[in-house]
Amino acid sequence: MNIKQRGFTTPFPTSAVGSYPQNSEMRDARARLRRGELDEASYFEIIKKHTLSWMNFQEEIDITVPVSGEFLREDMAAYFGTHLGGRLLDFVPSYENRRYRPVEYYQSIQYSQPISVDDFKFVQSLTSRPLKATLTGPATLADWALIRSRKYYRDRRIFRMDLARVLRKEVKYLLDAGGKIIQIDEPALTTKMQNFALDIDAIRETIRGFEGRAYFILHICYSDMEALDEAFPYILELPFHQIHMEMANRNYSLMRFIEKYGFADKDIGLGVIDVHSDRMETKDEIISGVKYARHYFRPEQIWLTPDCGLKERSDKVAREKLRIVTEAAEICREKFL
Amino acid sequence: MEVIVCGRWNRHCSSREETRKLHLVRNRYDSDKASLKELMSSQDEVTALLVRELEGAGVNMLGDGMIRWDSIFDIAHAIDGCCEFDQLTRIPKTNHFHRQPVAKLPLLRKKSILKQDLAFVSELTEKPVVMCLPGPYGLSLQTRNMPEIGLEKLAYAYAEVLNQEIRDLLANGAMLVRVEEPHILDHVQDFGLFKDTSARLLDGVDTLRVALATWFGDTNTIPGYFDLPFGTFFVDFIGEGKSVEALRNFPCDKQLVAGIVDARHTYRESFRQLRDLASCILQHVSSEQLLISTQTDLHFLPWEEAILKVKRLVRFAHEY
Repeated sequence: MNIKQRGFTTPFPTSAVGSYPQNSEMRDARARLRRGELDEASYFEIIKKHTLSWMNFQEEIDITVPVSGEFLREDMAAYFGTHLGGRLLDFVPSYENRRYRPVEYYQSIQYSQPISVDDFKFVQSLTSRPLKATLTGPATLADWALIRSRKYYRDRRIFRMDLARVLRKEVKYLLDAGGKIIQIDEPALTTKMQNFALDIDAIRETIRGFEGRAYFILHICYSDMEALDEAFPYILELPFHQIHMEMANRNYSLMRFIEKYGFADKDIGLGVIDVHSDRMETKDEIISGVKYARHYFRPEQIWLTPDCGLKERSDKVAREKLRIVTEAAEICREKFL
Repeated sequence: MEVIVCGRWNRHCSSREETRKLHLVRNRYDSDKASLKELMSSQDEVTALLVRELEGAGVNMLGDGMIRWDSIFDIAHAIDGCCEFDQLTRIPKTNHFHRQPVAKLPLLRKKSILKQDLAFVSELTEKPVVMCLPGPYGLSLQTRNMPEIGLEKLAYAYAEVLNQEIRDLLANGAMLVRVEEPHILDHVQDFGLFKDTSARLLDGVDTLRVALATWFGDTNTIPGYFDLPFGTFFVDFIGEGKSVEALRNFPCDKQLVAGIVDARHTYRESFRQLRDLASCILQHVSSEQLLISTQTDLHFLPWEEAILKVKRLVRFAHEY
């Protein structure tokens, strides 16, 4: 496969979105590190152990484009936010009993060194497959932020563009480190449509000038349907090679947007696994979803992936779900070619 | 000027023993390792803690924080005819999600939904209690098969059920029942239906004790909004800044709960900013009509920051 060309030649490539389950050992280690009860070297050894386990698993199931599992990231926004001058506050709710720590921005955004590049280089060294690097985008960092700074509270554009400018530096460092596939995660892109135009500008700035240097993916998920209907044409105008969307959670009802607006000849990250349920999808269900997508995409344009990160599932369930994805992809290669 | 704090409160707090325990008990309950009794007991402890802190902060009217409920839309679990609750969906304009009900008509109220919660919080406080419900319109929009059933049919069905719940809550001591309908601010085209279902929702009810709440939008976009048959309106004056204009024709026999403090950020409005906003509002409503609150519920903020916001609001109310 030639990554620098538009798209891939492998039909029905498989990948994951970014996160894998973080078990109690990892969470305890992080908490102990925070309390000063564990040194950094020991903490990183625990992270490396889990990363290696998942990299080996992804090789075993022959995933086309592996991901690191994001084990250094307690939360996708907190990881970047705390490296950009924000501070972590106490928990707030997400859904059911899930919670996360928001980042409070009380001062100007700061960026002194690459955030995710060392981790990327380490994980890439564990595989010959092209690793997908993942970054939380400016729209999501802004939307999930708690703002105390008067400057940012009063001017949402400045906040987003300041985030975008530093994230662009991070993208450049990843590219310089050999990153060939970079995903910008924007689950919050359509959350508040009054910010959408600002968000689009910020996302564009994040990868400005780099479009020809790597394969860029935009990940969006769990949008309000009305908001997504309004946003979709503008999302398609962004210079990404692939848009990834959570299809399984919606029983592929998101395909209606593709029917209505097309997809600007981009590749699709087809979420075929519901990451918020332990119910095991069948290969037939996945193949049925792919068959639907085949009305609009060539085989090499359809990436089979989970809907979103697999962090919320147990290790066992996550592995089994991912295995089913790769097995279904293999069947699709026999069936649809 | 009186302060109301009601609706959802963030139960995830690492600095309070009761909330740490609840998180663990809930995890165990979800894994079938704790009983419902244990869970409810832990929820009661957090509710009691919250009430103590809100009273200590000096609020005049309060709610129970809806500690038992992951989402206000989860009251659909108590409605006969609502089922499945599989698909996770976003609550608009938030980073919160809930599992959507699928509705199979007819909808029936199996039993009282919040009466037990009301009874519990009423035992904890002498202060007037505000209980909160989702409105039929928003609940319909958040129901997975609304397009198949039809918005009008479904909204009326929910309105029937919620009408019974409102009657029950008022009869059992709630000073106020707040019905939240933020969706309507982005769906002005449905206002005709909204008026009709509101009438059904409030049929036979003491409307002086029922409030309509919206946020994250501008009530100025809906002519006649304040003519709806609710006795009190919770209005968000943060962000868009245009809602004050809508108060031009605010009825003199209704109450306004003005959301003048940002509930989504830790930004601290100065007292001067609060005073300026309150003064604008008081050009349209009398001081007897006005109560103050945060723009929406405080569950977006960590517990400590939320309590600070409440204390600040109370201090402002005393000093203004």
